[in-house]
Amino acid sequence: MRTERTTRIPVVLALALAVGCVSHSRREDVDAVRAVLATRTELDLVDRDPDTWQQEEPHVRELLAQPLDAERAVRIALANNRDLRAAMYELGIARGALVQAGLLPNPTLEAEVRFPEDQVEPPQYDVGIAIDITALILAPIRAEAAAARIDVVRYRTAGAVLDLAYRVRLAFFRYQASVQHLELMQTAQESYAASVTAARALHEAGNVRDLDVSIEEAALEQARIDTARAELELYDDRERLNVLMGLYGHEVSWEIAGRLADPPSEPLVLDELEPRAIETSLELAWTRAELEAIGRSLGLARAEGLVPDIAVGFHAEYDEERWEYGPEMAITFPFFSQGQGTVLSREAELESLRERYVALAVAVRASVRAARNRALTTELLAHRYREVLIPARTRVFEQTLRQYNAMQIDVFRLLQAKREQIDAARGYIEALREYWQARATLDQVLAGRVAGTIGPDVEIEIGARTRESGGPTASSPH
Amino acid sequence: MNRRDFLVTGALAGAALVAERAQAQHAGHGAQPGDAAAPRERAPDATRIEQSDRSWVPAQRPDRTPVVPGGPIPAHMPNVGKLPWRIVGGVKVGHLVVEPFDHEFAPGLRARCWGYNRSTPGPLIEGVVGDRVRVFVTNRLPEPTTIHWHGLVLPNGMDGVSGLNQRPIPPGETYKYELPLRDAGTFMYHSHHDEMTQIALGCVGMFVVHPRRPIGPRVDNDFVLMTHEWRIDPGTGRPDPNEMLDFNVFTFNGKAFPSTEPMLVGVGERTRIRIGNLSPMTSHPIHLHGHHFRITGTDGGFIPEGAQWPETTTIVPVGAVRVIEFVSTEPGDWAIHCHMTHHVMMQMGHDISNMVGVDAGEVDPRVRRVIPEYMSMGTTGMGEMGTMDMPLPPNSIPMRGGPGPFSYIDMGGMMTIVKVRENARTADPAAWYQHPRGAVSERATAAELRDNGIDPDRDTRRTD
Repeated sequence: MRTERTTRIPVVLALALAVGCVSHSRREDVDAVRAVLATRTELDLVDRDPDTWQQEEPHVRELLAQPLDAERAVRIALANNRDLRAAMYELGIARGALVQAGLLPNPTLEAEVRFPEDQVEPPQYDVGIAIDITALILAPIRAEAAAARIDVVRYRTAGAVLDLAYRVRLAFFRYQASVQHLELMQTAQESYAASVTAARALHEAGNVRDLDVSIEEAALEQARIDTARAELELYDDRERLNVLMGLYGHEVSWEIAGRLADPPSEPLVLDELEPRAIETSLELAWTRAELEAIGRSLGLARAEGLVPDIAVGFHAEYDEERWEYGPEMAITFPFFSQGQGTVLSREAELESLRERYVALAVAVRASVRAARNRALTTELLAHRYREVLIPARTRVFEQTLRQYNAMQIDVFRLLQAKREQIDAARGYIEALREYWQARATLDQVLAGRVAGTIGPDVEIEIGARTRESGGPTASSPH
Repeated sequence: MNRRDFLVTGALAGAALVAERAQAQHAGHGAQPGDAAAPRERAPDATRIEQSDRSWVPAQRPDRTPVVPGGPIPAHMPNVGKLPWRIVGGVKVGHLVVEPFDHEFAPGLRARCWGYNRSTPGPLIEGVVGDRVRVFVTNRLPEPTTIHWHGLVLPNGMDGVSGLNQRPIPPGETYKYELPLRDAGTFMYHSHHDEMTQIALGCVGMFVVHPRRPIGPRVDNDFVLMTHEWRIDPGTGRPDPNEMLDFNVFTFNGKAFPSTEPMLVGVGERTRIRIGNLSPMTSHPIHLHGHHFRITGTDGGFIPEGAQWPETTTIVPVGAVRVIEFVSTEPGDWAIHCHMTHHVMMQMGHDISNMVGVDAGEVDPRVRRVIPEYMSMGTTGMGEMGTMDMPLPPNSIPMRGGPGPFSYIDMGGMMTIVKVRENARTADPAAWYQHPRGAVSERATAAELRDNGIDPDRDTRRTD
């Protein structure tokens, strides 16, 4: 530890001296984030010069030209989401703090002219230059503390990238499900409309009562309302995606490719999940970096408390028509204040964060287990729907049709059976959405981000998120 | 009308897409648009009766050897055999085995029934006054049973009421009944233990006792019909004994038309038909076409000639026998059937909407958007329902009738044919009557309409 610190000092010093290379360092930070991501996920953070972030990304238009699938939507969001860019700029904020911390204290020049009352006496000149030696000595330690902060921000930024990709996937699957859901609702509505047509035709023939027609009409109106609600939900889900992908204007007229895929026939094999999640956890990584940073600032506070403030300088005085000169020094003795308060605060901060680290590890483990359970259960559910319930409902309908052909039941019962078949299809869509969202959650946890609440509440929040919150649940994307 | 053709020519394409949308998802793996429509294969062959196919007509020639020298001719029970006798020490000994078995009601409809010697009704038991009859009854049912000899006057311990006259016959055991035949007449036999189940499943039969010398005019033909009603839902394979009112299969001698064996008689011959009813719940008004008959007896005995009255329909109550006799004068194929209209309709569902007069052109396109296979039925009546070729529940013949010489006969169920021929002894029992020229109702020509002052387009509203 000690050797590492000593070897770093010249590096930090060099960094501190390299004034004017801020933009170059920003690219370095972005590359560092990309490296963090590369070990955890296949996400492709578009390689762009950070200085041209403000300009439009031509790649996005290209991606939008084709129907979107989940991964294409993720790529658009990574290139285009302004919140993500804002998060990237926070790298610059940390970088700025580091540069600032490493700067040498400025020398102080003091000049003074005195005019005696006696007009005969010439003016007296005092010139002095002084520099704060303590600040100079402490500068490398300050720079080290700030450098540790940069690591924190790099991990957090990588986390923001993962979060965005994850939220896009969740929103995309949700939208896909909504599209298919609406289609099925429309088919169900068609069947109600057919019931009304049949009831009216029977009424026209004098074969059913007003009541029977009214019952069918009421059911159709209810179905229309249900379809309208489904449509509204679809629009909401689309807007969620637009926000995440950072799209507006004519860009929002994209279409999606394909339907929710059936779960792969190969069942999920999930083992060694907890060690993997712990290993990749970004929360744990940045908390470690934060511990490091606080440790450094604790050391700094202790040093600041114990080292007397020393300023040295050179003083020249023009007196009696001649120059007098000599060195000068000012020392402030740490007599009363040795920074005990600051040290106490830092120590408590360190202990507090250590506890948080353990709590975080517990949460990461629980999070990966919960994600695994959801993935396995929803996979089973989707399989049951596809292999058992849907075929069963289809058989019910086919047999119902035969009973209709045999004049055992009438058109109203037949349409009812069709609706029951549609209901099963809707259930399957729901199960598929849950499955693909659960898979996304699991991938997210394994990529290093605590994701998903423990439970079925998969709400996707949109809009700016606070960067300060470090707790696992507060910063989870749900 | 062939429904398949109708569908093919119908505007299917657009409608299929909607259903496809609903089904493609759960089909899961690459459903083709064509798959979305439910299978539209042919109806099972057994349910398709072609005009030319006469294999369904059971052709039997009744035995006419008198039951005793100088006595009456034996009875003939269409579609049903007779209980064979073994003479042991001057006693006629027969053996009835009551057991579950697979029974065919008509081509395309079979069910697991309970009956005697694998027959429902059971074999005709036939004896002559003065016979001593011993019937062994072996119970192979899963529950006890007894046999009641309906209408016979017997020693009380032979009457067969479970618990009252005897211990029920446990499964696996054989009991014996000693029956002195004292009176001539038409009787029946049936289970008298858990009758609700056992009669509903088929434990019934007819019992004819001939006089040693004919009573009344000698008959040339002596037939026995037994009516029954069943509840067999399309797609099931066992009659439902729980049904109390809504029966859907009606039979003569366990068979539904067109599987009922016709009765072939000669012009000028005197024919007797003994009709017994052991339906669970319903009386049947049996109507004979082309004849006037007289009711000459019941299961209580013979009706003196002066008390007989002419009829064309006689109601046969549940648990009763009506014996009718007639002389045929007009050759031809004459229907005899239950006059309750639903009793000549096979497996009709009664809990459905009335579609008569409904505009299918309005309904069908709309429904086909969701169910491409849909077609409204019964909008112009239901006579042709039985001829439609569409996927049906297995083991069902809903609305089916049978083939006729001119067209499809839309009656099914409790219906059969009395075939009156000049040469009854040599005629083909399966053949249709050949009508003399001009003796069949046919389309009136324009000249005939004109000559008779008939205007088919006449306004039929009352003007007086």
